[in-house]
Amino acid sequence: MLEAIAGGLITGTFYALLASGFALIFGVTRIFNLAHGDLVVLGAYVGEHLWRVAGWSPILAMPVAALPAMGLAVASRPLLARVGEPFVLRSIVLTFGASLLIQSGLQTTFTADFRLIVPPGWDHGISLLGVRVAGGRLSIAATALVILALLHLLLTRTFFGKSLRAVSLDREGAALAGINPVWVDRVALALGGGLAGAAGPLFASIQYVTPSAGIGPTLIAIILTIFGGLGSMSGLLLGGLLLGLAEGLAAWAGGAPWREITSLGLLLLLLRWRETPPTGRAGRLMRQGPSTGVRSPSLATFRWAGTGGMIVAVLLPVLAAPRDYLLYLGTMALVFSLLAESWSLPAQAGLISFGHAAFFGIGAYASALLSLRGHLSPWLSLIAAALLAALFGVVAAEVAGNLTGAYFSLATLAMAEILRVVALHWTGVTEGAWGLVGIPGLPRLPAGGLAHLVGTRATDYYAALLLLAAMCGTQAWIRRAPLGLALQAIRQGEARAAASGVDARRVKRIALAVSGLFAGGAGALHAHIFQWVDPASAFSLTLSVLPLIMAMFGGSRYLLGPVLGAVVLYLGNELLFQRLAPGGHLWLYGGAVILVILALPHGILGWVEARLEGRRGPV
Amino acid sequence: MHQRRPCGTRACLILLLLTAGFAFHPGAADTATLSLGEINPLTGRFAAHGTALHRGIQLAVEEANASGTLRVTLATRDDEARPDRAVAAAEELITRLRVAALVGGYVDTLVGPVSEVAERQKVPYVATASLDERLTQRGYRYFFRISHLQAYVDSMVGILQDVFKPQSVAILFSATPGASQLARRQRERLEQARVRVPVFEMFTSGIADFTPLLTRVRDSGAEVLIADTFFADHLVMVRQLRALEVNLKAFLGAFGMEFPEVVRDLGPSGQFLFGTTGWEPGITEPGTEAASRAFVDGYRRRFGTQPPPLAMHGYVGARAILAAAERAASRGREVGPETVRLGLQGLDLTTPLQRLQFDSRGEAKHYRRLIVQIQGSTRVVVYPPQRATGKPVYPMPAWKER
Repeated sequence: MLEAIAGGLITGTFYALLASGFALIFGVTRIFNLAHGDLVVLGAYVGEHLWRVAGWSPILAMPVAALPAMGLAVASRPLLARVGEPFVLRSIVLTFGASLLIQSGLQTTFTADFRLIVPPGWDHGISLLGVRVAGGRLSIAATALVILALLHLLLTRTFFGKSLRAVSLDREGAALAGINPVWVDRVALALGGGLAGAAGPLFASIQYVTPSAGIGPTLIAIILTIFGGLGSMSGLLLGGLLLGLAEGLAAWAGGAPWREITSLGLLLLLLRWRETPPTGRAGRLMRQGPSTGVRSPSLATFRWAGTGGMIVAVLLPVLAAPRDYLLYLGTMALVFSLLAESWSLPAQAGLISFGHAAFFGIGAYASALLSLRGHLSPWLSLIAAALLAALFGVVAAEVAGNLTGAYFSLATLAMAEILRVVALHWTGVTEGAWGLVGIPGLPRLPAGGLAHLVGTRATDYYAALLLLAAMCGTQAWIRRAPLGLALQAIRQGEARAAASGVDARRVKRIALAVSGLFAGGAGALHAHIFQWVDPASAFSLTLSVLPLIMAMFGGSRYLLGPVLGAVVLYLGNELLFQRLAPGGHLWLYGGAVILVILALPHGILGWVEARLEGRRGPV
Repeated sequence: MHQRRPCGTRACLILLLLTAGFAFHPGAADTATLSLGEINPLTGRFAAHGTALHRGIQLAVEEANASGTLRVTLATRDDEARPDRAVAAAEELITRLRVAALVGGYVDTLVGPVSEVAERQKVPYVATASLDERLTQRGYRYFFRISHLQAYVDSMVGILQDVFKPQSVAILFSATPGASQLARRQRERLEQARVRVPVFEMFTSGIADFTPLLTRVRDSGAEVLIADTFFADHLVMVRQLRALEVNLKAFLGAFGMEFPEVVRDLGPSGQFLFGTTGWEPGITEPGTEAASRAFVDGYRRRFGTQPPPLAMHGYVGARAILAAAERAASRGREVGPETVRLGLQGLDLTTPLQRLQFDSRGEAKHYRRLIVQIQGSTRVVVYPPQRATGKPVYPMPAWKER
């Protein structure tokens, strides 16, 4: 047991170092850097290169490995200055694009081969108070501790550190006191990027590295920063140690399944415990859902385009050729649209979900099991599964409804991860990692002699279209109904909403249940399209991030913004990027995301509306 | 204004075309064209594996085009290790580009959905790295694969039962369909043979800290550790075994132990580890030594590096389709999905990896895994006895004695 505790503490200390750069940048500049892990991996590659070519130890390589990441972070400052509001959400989209570009750059430069730094002697064990630990891992923990201590001193004892904290606490106040926030931003980016890069060689010493390995460090950084607090190195360290210890002890005592469930369950519990956090800044910082306004310009301005789009959408199965391919693309575009549109409903109340994969996965598994084991028809399974996901929405509202901003986001992320682990280990029901195969597809349309005209995927397509139409109709109705106003009121402040007679708990419950219903429907549909479901793809983190990206891309303040974002991004990737650059499509995808978020402050629909209104002239 | 072409001219044209048809039809194989679609993860978490498979396929196609017996066009698509992308690629290749066959695929969560599309569209699909037993139990007629689970079970349990004869074995396996099915089958076979399996744990591939799991292995008193996971996990796990001084009689890794990085990165810690291999440079099906050397040389010339074993899987997968297409062409039949499927069904091809014949379910009949042990800078085949090139060092020396 002692080894498990020691291992957990060592891992936890390193987790805190991994998160420190993210926390610093998020705290000072409000940039939610999804490319954080990629900066770590960039540093890891530099460290591995120096070790392989010149025999540098990972600790010696840290200052050099910090430089490229530092350079990238500082160079991004002018771009970030162009990011409009809601800043945090838009910074997520921007850094998502940057993450794809860095990954592509790494694969082009270093290939996709696995890299690991193995310094001589680091594998040897050392006995410490009767506990055996690896010498290398102990060196890593010691180095991380020293860096965290230095950071703590820097932040608390120097004028420079106090300036950082001042800007982090109150930007306008700090400016009034004579601190230049732009300068502080630049320094925070340099320091945060440098810390990420410097952690890289250590990362590559305990774990193998590939160009796409950044997702793990990013996830750890998000969890620890939101939980541990901003700008507080001791909070990060405490969070890291708790997480590492919980993982280690649970795996030792209960086996591997309990490793993630315990740590994530603990996180949920602690989040509820600190639902009114003493500092609470992380909560405030992300409580900025997309503003929808009372009017819905999309309906008035885009009536003709919308009607045309609907006609094309309904006739696509007859118009498309080659049918099955284009219908499959159309169906998937609609499934992603459904997910993005359902995500945007609670987002109007400032409830930014990082765990929409939970609804999607529940829908997929429930429908698969009901049709496979319960022998229900796929249609009935789909409806029942969507209702079950809606019920989970109510549960989610009970568990996380009291949390605000980033705390809510983190809780949803934890719930989706817990469900993934449950699906993975509940082998008696879900068949675990094997996944469920042979799920019945939706029956073909009774097209009779005209079957060849609509192809084999028409049912999938129309089912997705019907669900999306229902989702959009519900959204449109909610936006006009008192419920829509209540959502807006909650976004602006729960206390104020309560004063106006809004029952925030009830409204959140409804929003999450409706959102769950349609996201679950998307998951169920996905299961019947693929006839296969497994934990990794049903509860994939990508499914939790993409709705946000797609909604911001299309224009999150518009009813049809998420739909347009999903359709353009998905079809753009499939029909354009993949064909233009089969080996380098991620460059185009990442570039397009960055370009749109920088050039179009309200997404594609915002740009279209501005053009139309510009042509019409001022009213 | 429309002018009628004189009748004589039309007759001359028809005659000319007929003559040309006879003149250029000495054997259909000369001009037969195969349109081949490939789907592999070229970016994302399986990019290294997908790239190795892709290069093997590319080499096979380039060789076929150079030999002149078949004109092959290869359309490659990246599935980004995402099932929805893999299905989109399959639909595009089949319905837009009209390929006659599909090849490629790494891990069953990507292979499975592609196989559904292939079956529905009636296009043969040869999967290059797939183990899930359920995929060949569906009665699908268009699904073929060149590897199967039973070969892993037979070789790994075989060496335990015939050579090591331990009392208890620990099994750690990663959360993928193939690895978890392999672990389940191993446990069943071991327990039938009255071998205890006190630790049977699944983990998420890529974790940094195996300490809790390894201390459970040590505390259970297991003599042998089976690690049904990918090579990168082996590297991390073995280093922590050494640090914690968990002394086992044998460490037996399922996948990727034949990667050169295992010897290079683990150094002395890698000595005496056991793993499985189907083929690697220097270890080849008897009678195919020259073909194996030619593949290694060709690969080095083309890509400037030693071929990893997965490249051979890609190469053999593509060669199977090429051979089926050549067979159809040599019989004067059009090279299309149905003729390629028939060719694959009747295939009997000798390759450095295996003699390739498919059974009625699409499984490769003769796929075998060998057990190798790292001894010095080389890997010695130690099981099965008829292919052994050396004796196993068992038990492995304790970490302190190295």
